[in-house]
Amino acid sequence: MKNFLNLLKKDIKEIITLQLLVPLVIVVVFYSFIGNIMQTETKKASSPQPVLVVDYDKSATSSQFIENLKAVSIPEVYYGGIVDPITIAKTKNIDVIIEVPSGFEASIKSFKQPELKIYSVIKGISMVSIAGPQKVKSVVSAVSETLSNMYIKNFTNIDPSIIKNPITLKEYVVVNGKIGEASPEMVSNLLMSQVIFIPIILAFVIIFASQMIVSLIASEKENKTFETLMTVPVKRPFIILSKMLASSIMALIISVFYLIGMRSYFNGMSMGEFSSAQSSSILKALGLVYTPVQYLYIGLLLFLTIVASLALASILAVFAEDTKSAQMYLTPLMILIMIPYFLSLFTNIDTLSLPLKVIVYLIPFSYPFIASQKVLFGSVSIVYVGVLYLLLFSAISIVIATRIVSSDKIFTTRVKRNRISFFGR
Amino acid sequence: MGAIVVEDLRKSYGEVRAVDGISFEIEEGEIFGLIGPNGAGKTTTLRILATILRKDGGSVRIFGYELGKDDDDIRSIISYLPEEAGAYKTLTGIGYLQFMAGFYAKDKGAFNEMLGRAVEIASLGERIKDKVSTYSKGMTRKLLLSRALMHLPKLAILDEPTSGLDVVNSVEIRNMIKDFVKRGITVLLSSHNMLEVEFLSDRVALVDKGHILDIGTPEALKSKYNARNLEEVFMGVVL
Repeated sequence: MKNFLNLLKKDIKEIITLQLLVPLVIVVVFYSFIGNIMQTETKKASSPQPVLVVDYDKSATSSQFIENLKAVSIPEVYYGGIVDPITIAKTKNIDVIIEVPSGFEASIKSFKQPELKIYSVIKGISMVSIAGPQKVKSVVSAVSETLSNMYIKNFTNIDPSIIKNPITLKEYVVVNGKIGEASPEMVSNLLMSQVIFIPIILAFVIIFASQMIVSLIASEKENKTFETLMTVPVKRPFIILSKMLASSIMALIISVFYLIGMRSYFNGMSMGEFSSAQSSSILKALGLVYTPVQYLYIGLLLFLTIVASLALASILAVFAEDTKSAQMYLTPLMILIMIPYFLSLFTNIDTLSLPLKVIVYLIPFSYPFIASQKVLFGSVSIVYVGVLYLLLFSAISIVIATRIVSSDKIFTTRVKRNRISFFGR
Repeated sequence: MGAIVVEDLRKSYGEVRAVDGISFEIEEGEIFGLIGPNGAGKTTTLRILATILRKDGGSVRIFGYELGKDDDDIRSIISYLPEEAGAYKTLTGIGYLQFMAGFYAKDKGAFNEMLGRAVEIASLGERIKDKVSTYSKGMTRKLLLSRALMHLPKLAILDEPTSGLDVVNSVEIRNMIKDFVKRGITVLLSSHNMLEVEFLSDRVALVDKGHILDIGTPEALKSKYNARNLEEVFMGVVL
């Protein structure tokens, strides 16, 4: 045990380098920064923007319309006679111009359709540049709605809302027998905003852990320290197991940093769509919030997946001569991780064709990705299957990895021109 | 019977027979040198004795322990200095020695004793506290040799101990090895620098193409082949 701890301490020291710490801090700062920018932009888009109103009508109805606009914007009103409203708007840095035509009130009173003109100055594709005109249009719609209701009431005694919507719709979502009043689109969007970072973090952890162990083994070979290590009185499996443990500890620590950064980023993105209280009450009502046990299930699958990826990466690292080539040998592993990652982000695994489904379930890294969604919907069997499969896969991979390290294959195996040979010197 | 007994040792890499029936014995406290050209099978022999490579055939006994069966015991009494060995670049010199002493020391006292000995052998002064990545080749080699001798192994296996070093560093390292043998360490070394082996070794084995061509003291071999040095002896045996 003393020797194992000695190895573990050294391996952790090997991993914690400036090259690792600097990008880590940058990532956290970067995501937090982007998240803050997103929040600021969202706030800016939702706050009232100045609009330039050119009122050629100067009537009570046009004044009322301008009054209504004050709820969503800061109108700067000109009563006709402006030669070039666009130049004025540009000078005053106003991006929305509304032109109320002469005869606006008269047209309404005589049931004609007056034409309001909205000019939007587009300076980019940011949220702010399209939010202003959208708000104005919503006011116009509201005014149209009011006028429409007024017309209907003038001609009939029926409630205008009944004429417009003879059938009303109330949507419910059912999840595992629990009913909540919401549309499936709304629940889907809410869930995405709540769990989208989980597969990203899962992919990060697995990739980080694999990269670290491959680098550790390859740098031992590159720095010619492995031969010496193999002659010290320490059980050979400890040499690889300490690297696995050091890599997984560091991968988990790094993931926490990423998690903090990602949460800040996605909080910034989802802000304004639904309030957190609203979303949590809908999801809670439907039982779509992770319970501590469900977190434990995902954690267990993640742990076993890390072990499996580390064992597999160790086997691949045997073929690497140095840290540069080591990254190349990780490519097949990366592909195996990216397949379930993208599938879990964009599709439902259950709807895939049978051969594809079999392939996905054969990939050991698929289980935490699939389970992170399935356990929310009450399916726990995937966890049991995943745990059993990953235990078996990890055990076999660890045995192979430790056997390779215990044998002399690690020194005699070379990859030459697309073929593996077992020649030493 | 010698402290180290190697009988009919064989190792192949695919079709290539790197070691083809090598046999020799080394007495306790003796410096035994393997000399021969590159690819003769010297390094493979040393790596097998250091428990890194597995032998295909033959038998090896090291201080009574049988190679292949008692490898854990063998590792606790030997040390191996590979030809192109390096140290962990992220560690300091002293950090590296502490890491390695951690495998051999039974208690804190033994740990400190080993560390003190290693620092003395390495003789790097204050530079021992610097990162290994800042060391010259000579400094790294001294650090590695001090690591190999720090726990006073019963058998030190040294592969090309002065490989790539300048004259001053080579002489220093040779003197270190000579000094340490006085403490009862048995040394098996290899080199293609035959003059170095002649200076260091009590007995030498001439190796070529996986075979031992002859064994003896440098003086006896020189006399047998009527040569002025081991280089001439080797040429006489091979040609």
